[in-house]
Amino acid sequence: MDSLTPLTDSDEALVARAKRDREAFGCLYDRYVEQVYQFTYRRVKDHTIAEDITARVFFRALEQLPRFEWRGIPYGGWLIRIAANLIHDHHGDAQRHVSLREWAEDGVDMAASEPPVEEQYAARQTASVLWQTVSALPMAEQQVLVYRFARDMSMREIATTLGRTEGAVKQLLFRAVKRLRQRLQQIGFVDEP
Amino acid sequence: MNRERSQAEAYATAVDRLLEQGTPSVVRSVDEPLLDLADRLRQTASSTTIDPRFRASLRQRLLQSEGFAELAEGRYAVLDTAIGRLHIAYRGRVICGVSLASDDATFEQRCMARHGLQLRRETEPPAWLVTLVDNHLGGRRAFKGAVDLAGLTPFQQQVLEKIRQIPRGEVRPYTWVAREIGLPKAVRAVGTALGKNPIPLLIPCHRVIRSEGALGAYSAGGTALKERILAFEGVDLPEIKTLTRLGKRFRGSRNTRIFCLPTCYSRKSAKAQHTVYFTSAHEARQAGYRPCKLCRPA
Repeated sequence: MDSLTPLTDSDEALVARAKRDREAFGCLYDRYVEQVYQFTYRRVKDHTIAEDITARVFFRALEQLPRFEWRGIPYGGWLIRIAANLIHDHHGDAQRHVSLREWAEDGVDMAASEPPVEEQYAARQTASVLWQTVSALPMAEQQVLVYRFARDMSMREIATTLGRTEGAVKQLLFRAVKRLRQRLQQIGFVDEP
Repeated sequence: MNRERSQAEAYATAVDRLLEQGTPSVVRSVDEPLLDLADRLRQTASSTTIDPRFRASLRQRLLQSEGFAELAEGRYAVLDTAIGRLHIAYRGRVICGVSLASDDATFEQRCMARHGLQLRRETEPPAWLVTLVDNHLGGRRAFKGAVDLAGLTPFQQQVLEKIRQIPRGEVRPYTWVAREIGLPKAVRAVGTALGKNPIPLLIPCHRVIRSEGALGAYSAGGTALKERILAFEGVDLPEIKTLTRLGKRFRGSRNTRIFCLPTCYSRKSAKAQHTVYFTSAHEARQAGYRPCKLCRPA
């Protein structure tokens, strides 16, 4: 899967196209799925529930797409509001009203938001390039990197999840990091050996 | 190949140490830039990161779902069947919800909550739907068509897809489902997934019972209804009850030396005088029996 979304298309253009063209909806999905997931996970603190809610957010967004009217608010903000409503339904707290500020603080870039401090910005860029490159690796390699480094799962737990032997998963990890390094070299993100 | 294996082994150990101690330690035989990269991954990783498998599968499900115009137009019809009154919601020819013994208002509400759509009731059920339900309930052709499992997790979807393979007239224990999908410990989660089945009857969650033979819960309408559906499908409930009382979980044939789940299709050809019963798969194996390849009892 190519997760790099066309950066040139505005949300407005994509939403208009998505009403006819599934792929455009796919672009919107790629652009916002991580933010919706992270927003949800931070509030429900459970990956299974976060996945459940994220799926429902996008299916609801898809269903409501024909009726969606562009009001100048980034599409991501609208998705986050759906997520907030579903989270509210999930544990019935007063989380329903999400201000645009809270949404921006959750890491979604808004046209009007101030640029973050240089240093923070650089760090965020590094993380973003690194993990975007990870998301273009073969699926099993992505999984092993995410499970090991982000989910802090042991090699044994990963082996169980992927239905492979521990030895195979270790090789997978090794190959994933080697391939990642190669790709990062290609885009000039790390030095050539 | 062997060299790569030992390198991978050393690398995994170095990563373990890195994640434990928080600083990269120099490990002989491990490439330094690769360890450095692991350290960068560690520093930038966030526990909120989405599972890549989930991200890809949700994208696929979204893009493969029905056309956008059709999506907005959910419909439902009411059918009177041998099991009772069925409310069935669909978009195009994709089934999205079934309720047994429901009423219009409750059903509409439930579909609204799950799919967020306004359903329109058809005055007459369409012919294709009548045929589909007739064939499925009558045992002529099991329903294998498209279903909308939106809102369920990939695991729950996998459980529901798996149980569609259980034949009419047979039952399987929850542990069987868990084992078949490769997560033998996830028995409780299997139960939860079945409880969330939006399409009962057509996705036959009633064919899953407890390992010791008790029927277990039925979220679509209670144990009594589950019992009625199973009896309707030809499951020998008195026999299951007897076996439960005796603690017998498997049936074997002295002729073939094969053991099965009690309701396996092969029982039809088995004669009573050649049948033996076992309390566990272990006991059956000890007696020299192998598991059946049709019902995969163990």
